Amino acid sequence: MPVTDVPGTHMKIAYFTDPEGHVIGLSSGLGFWS
Amino acid sequence: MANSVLWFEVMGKDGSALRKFYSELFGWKISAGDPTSGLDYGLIEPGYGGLPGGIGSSPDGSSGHATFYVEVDDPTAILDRAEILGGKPIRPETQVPSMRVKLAYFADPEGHVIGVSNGAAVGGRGDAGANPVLWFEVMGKDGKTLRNFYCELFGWTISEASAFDYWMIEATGEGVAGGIGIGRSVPGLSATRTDSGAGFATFKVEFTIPQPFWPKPKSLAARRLCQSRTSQAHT
Repeated sequence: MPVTDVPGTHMKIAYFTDPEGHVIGLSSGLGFWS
Repeated sequence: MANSVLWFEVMGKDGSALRKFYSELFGWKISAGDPTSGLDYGLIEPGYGGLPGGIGSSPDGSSGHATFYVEVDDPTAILDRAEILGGKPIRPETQVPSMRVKLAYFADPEGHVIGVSNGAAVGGRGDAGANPVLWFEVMGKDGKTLRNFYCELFGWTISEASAFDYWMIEATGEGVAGGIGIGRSVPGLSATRTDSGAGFATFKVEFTIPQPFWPKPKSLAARRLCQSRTSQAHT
């Protein structure tokens, strides 16, 4: 999944699969939640 | 115990190849495993503010999983409770050789594999390094079932996010926050092979420098749905 804006926020998310097919998320702007 | 998410993990057929992939992709420092041993596992130094983790070879040679761990008092008790709530034990409590760490795995009602640990991540979150893991996530089919399962199992506080079918899990203790979502409702995700409908459990890598000056988005701090094991507010 390409980089996608989260509606109404400054956040962006994306997903990819590694060479063995595991799904991993990418984020931008989630940091201050954690 | 706060039932905090304090660790992430990738296990697969070829731990060495996976370590090379992730170190080159994110610049993570990962210790070398030992493919000849029964425990081929490399430790990932946590990025700034992020979780530590590990990448290894599955003991059974399977494609394994990418997931997160919840630090708990009693892994066996959590597996028993997960089964009562509709989940399934995957691996019984196991002592990590030469370490004071106990691990176990269960599958939630939709089959997502989650780890539970006792004694892991004693070093805490990172103070340097790029591309930290700051989030955990379960994407599935039935939001109500998943919310209630995790709320009852871990006592997490779960709130509704209005952007799409996604619910925020508040961080507890030293752990990171996370979310539960419906994969098919996320823009773009349903059209890719990353979500065939069954969903997945995973972690999220923050791929730019966190910007704490950004205002907290009100649209994601909406109705609280689930707060404790005794909550009656499940919807």
